[in-house]
Amino acid sequence: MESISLWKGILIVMILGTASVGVPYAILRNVESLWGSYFYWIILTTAVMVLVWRETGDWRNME
Amino acid sequence: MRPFYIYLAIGVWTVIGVIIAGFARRRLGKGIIEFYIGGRRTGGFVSAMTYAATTFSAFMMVGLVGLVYSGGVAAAGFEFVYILSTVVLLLIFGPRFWVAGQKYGYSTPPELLSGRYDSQKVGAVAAGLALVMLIPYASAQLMGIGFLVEGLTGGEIPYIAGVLIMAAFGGVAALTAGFKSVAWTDAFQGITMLVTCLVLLFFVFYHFYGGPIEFFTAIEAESSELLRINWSIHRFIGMTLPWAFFAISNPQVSQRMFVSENIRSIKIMIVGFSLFALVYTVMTTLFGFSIFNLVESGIIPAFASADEAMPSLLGHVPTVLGLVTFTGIFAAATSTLGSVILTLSSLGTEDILKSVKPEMSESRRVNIGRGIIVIILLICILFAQGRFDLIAVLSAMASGGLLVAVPSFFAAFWWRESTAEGSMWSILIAGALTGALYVSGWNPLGVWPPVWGLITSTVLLIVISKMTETPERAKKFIRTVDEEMEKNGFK
Repeated sequence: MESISLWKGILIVMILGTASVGVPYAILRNVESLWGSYFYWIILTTAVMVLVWRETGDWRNME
Repeated sequence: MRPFYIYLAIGVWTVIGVIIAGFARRRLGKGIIEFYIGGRRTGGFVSAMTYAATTFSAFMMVGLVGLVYSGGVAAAGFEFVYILSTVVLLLIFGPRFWVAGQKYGYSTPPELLSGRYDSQKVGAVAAGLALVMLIPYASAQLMGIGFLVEGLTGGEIPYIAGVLIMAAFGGVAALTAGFKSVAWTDAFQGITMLVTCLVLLFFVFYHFYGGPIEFFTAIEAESSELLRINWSIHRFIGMTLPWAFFAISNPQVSQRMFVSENIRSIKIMIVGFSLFALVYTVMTTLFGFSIFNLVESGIIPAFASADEAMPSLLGHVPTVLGLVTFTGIFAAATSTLGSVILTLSSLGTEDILKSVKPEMSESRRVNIGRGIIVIILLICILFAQGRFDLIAVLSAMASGGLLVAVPSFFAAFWWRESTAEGSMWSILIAGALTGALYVSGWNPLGVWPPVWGLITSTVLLIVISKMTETPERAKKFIRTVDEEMEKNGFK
């Protein structure tokens, strides 16, 4: 396996895992407000979606 | 609700669906690729809608609403983590599956494994795992509708009638024109799901609370305990992990990475699906919060099982709205069922039958594939008669079992040294272990079966691959996919 791909993959998994599970469980767990974990998860999901859309913007049809 | 209204709603909706399937049949060409993946000519909008409608099932409006009602915001979180990881996986795997399909002619995900690992056995094992795990998942769709019609009519339409009606429609969608009829009806079903959900949500906002702002204020003030995470971390990971890799582990969705007509269609599929997923998930989770609040306020009487949450809400809305919502749930369940049985049929003919009888003609395999669809439906109906309690857990179990194939897909594209033996035994042993843990109900060290399954399959893949010889084709496959990615403008 290319070492760059491996480390990049591990880094992405760690960042996404920390952001989507670590932060809600470590910091927001007891917040009894919509502005706690609920909106956090929505905003995080939206942010990741926008990043993915930007990445697909680089794909070019070669036909 | 009177049974006549339910039959009427299903009847009208079925007529429209059958007309759409009939149009799809006119465009159906000959051959396996045409029948199972629409000849790789699916446009962006239909790709996005079939991906979304296949992914989102009765689980969303019945199971997830019940989970949020009983488990609060953690249940919503597990669904958001699923969306987040799915869009990332689509970005990573979407182009690779697509170029591999174009280059080598693959029509099913296990076929890709067979090609990459240079062993028909690998594909057959992955296909066998999917057949075992997806039948409960498909049955859960039938059960969802069975419970719903029984609950809505107070038992006047029996559970089994709901199961049979839905099985018939799912069968028609898959048999009429294979992928084309499934995808086109999926697009219609996806729109139905979104619109009906939106209409019901606004009714709940304005009828019960006076508006969206009042709704959110009431949830925060009166039901704030729902907004605190109250699932243990083990439960959260155990529920989330199988869904996080759903895009790769479940062949009925990963097969859709082969269908797009060009790169623009893949882009539209990813963007369209992610938008659909976010909006639909936010809406369904809000139903869970509202039903909890309405039960606490005494507007809706308490009920015994979490799966009764949505039927209870529908019992307190005008008949027309209840019917509209029921149609949306029916659409969600049938679209998933149609896609799953068609995919399972393709695994049966392309990954199992073809490995035994490679000389069999494509037209004969298509006919046998139609027979497999009927057989799978009959098995699903028998399974649905078991009436398991919690649809959500059953669906999660199916994905939990399929998770063991995920390391083989990653290794297929990124680890040259991974071998057929490593892939095959990792799927077989870890799949058996996961199934045994689910059936026994044993969570060693408090950790759920999918986590053990994923760890076991990853370790076995690495260890056995290191002990066996790398297939010559592996290097060529990875190099070719990389070159095709570049040639097609993905890099």
